[in-house]
Amino acid sequence: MSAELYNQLTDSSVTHTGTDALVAAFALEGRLHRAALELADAEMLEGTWVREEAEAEQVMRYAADDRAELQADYSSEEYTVRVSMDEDGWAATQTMGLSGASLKIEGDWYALTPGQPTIVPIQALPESLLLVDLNGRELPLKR
Amino acid sequence: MEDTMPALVRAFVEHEREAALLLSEFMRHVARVARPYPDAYFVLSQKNSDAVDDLGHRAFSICTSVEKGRFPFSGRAPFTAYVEEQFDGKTIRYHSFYAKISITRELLRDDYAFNLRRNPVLRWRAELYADIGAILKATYEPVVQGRGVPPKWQPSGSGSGLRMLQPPEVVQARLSQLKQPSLDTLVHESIAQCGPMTQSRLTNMLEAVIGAPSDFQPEAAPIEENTADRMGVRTAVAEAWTALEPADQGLIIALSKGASYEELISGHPSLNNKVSVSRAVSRVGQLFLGSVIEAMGIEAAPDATPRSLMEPIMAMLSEIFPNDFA
Repeated sequence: MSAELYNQLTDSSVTHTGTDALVAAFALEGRLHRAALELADAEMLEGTWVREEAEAEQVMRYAADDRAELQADYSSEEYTVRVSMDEDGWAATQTMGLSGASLKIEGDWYALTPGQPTIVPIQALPESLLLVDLNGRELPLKR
Repeated sequence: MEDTMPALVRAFVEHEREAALLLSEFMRHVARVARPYPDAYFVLSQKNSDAVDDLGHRAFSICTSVEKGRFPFSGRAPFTAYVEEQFDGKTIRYHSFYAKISITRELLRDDYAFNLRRNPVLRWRAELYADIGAILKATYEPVVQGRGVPPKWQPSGSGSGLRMLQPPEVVQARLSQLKQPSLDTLVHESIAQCGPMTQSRLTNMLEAVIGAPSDFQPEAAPIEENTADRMGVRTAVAEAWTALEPADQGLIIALSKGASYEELISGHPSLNNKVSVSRAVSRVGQLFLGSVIEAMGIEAAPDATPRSLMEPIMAMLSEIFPNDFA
């Protein structure tokens, strides 16, 4: 019964009189404050206004989680390529191996220059990459 | 190309140099982050270049001097943390602008929450959110989505059986065809047809179905500006507060925070009976709100409604007793 009395204070369909009406008005304002805070917080946590350019899955994660997910090294015996996210998207940088290699992604070739980032069309860090060396050999690179 | 952000932050923190350049970089990124946000997220509910500049300056100011408790700042001002942790430019930009929870997005959230309380149209949205929340808590159960993400809601006891779900746009169009449906019906049909949804997603969808009022006449003139003797009111609030018993004060704190009854009695078990609640309500009405409103001078705002009087009282309580009302 005490809960009912308390809850009636925030029920706008209940008519209050005298100073109880003031308490009910105060309670309704408090309810509005809470709703405003919760709605604003929920939209932030859901990333409602985080747009495509910044909302790759890894970026949406908490800072505590995402550092390892924004970068990975892919290697074979002769080559290493680091893939990382920068402001323009995912970039692959050859960190070991002879020059003249390319990455083959979904049938397209992306030439690598050692030490220089090359933007590649991936949506997330893959399990492996396919590198084609200067002699045309296809070498799988593993994480 | 070299990333200049870490060096700019370090020069600013350690030698107070490069402030203009760093601020300029800051404003560029803030403008980019702010691009998708609607008017409701900006000062005075208007998105324009002044509002975005203001946002950028406040974000810069926070990074310079406001100690933040959360990760990764751990009680340090963000710029100081960036230098001490030797963050690279990408990480600095992430925490300042682009993360889901960044300094800039936290400010946008706070401005939005303020506007939701003050702007009449947005108040309607916040109240819709609260009304939907009451329905969800009464008859649905939360489905945890993951750490830091609001839950989705599904009917209590619903199994994992197969259901034909519809895209939200289709459901929204269908619901718009209903003739004067109750909010309960809209919530029920939304979840039945779309599947589990978060409270905010449901609010946005039902706002589109119901149609937010395009304009509101303010219910009363702002009281704060009309209050002739602000110090007098402050004194009245402080005096009325000290005249109350702890349980009465507990009731006011709970009401100001929109607390549930369970939350109220967890802090004040003495209010766990009808007589004590009734007595506290009477005392709060007479000894606190009544006397404060008298001190506010209602003659200064004859069109004021009881509810419009409460915002300035809450603001003053937060000022005077920040620990209780934060």
